[in-house]
Amino acid sequence: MLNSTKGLYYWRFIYRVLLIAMIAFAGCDNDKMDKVVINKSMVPDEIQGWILREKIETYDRETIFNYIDGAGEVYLAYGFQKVFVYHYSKTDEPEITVEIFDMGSDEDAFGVFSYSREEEETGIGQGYEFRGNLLCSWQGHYYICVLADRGTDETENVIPSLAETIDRKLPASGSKPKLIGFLPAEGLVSQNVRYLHTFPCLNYHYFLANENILKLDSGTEVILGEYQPGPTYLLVIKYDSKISADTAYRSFMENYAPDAVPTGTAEIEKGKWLNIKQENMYIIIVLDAPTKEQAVNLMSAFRNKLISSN
Amino acid sequence: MKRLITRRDFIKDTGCAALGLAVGLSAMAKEDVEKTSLANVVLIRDKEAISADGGPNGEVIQSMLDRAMVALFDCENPVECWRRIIKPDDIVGIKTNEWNYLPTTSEVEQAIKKRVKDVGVEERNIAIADRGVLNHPIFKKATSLINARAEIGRIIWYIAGQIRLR
Repeated sequence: MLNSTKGLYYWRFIYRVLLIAMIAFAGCDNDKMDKVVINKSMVPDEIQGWILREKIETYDRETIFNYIDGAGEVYLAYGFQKVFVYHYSKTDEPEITVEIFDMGSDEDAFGVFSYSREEEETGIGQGYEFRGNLLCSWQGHYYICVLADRGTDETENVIPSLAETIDRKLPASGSKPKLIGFLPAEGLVSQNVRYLHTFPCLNYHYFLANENILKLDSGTEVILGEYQPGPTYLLVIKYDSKISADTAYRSFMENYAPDAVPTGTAEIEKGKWLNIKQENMYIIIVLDAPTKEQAVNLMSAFRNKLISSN
Repeated sequence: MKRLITRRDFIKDTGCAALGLAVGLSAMAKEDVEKTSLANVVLIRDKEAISADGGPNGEVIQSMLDRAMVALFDCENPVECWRRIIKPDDIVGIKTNEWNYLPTTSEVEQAIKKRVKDVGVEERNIAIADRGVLNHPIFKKATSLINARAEIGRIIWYIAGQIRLR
């Protein structure tokens, strides 16, 4: 009996030690990411002759405008939390800047990447674009940009190498927004799929109106897909509730498509058809379809996928 | 109450090509906003804006700015145009962009500054800055702000707007 009690205490003790160790380890793991970044471990001290400068800059939602000025609005329109900025120098070569944005979620890291990309390649992060002297990628809830002040033969080599090095140190892969999986594949221009939240961001890619007639805010999820031939656009918005979607639907119909009442279909101008449907907390709009039939077909293809998933 | 302008209005009235420009940019001067419902936008192109070495060509940029001002204000010469928006006793803040992606080149900054000085504004009353303008002594007492931006890689640059503060 005594031995048995001792054994019980012993295993309780071991259990507690393990529990404390696990909690401590988990805590360290969370801290580690910040510490790793702040302590420069996320990036190499030297790469192909470029030397990392001592000072690392960090900016959060309050201070982002000190760094990016007006363009900070784009990041704030997503779940931006913090950006870490690193600078590299090499004699007779342009300076290289590395930015690692913590976007708060996988979806918003993809979203801010999708906002500006014109092409998309695979092999670095979960997708990247390399335009001359700028390489941007996303991975997990991070959005990463490596930029040289100007492009040279050497920067063309070092920029992807630097991005790959950072890629290997970042956490595992994240998820794209679920709604993207429902976009019908036929005719979809994948590099022109955008994920966003707010009306100014939508207007940047597809100008609708100077007022927020779709009642978008930081909580709405918006997918804008481009289809060819056309281009035809498929705009999908997920609201926080059916009531919010009802209000937005009424606003859109009243301000933009009164002629689409009651069928949801209208020829906005010659050869540009609109089709709109509300599905519970979703509003789905096909824009600029060349024919009424194409507008209706694209709508049906998306709705079928959406409905079958619920 | 602000007038609702939708894509359909643009399709009907002006065509889509003018859409982004007309909605996205600020008015150049308050008087012009009062006269017209939309801002005036001038686009100047010059293939010589980038020199053979890939850098901005200061002389050409000055000329582009001058041509833009003459076209916008319909004046005889660029200095006369600038006199329409800047007074000799103004304190002028030229807000530029230091951010690596879209830096304003010094050629654009100096082109603007030259014309501001030509109007008669003293050197000590002109400042060019980006970050920290909220605490910049000249910007804090500025009577006129000019927002300048340049993206030389794509040969785009413009003065986004000018605000009179008095």
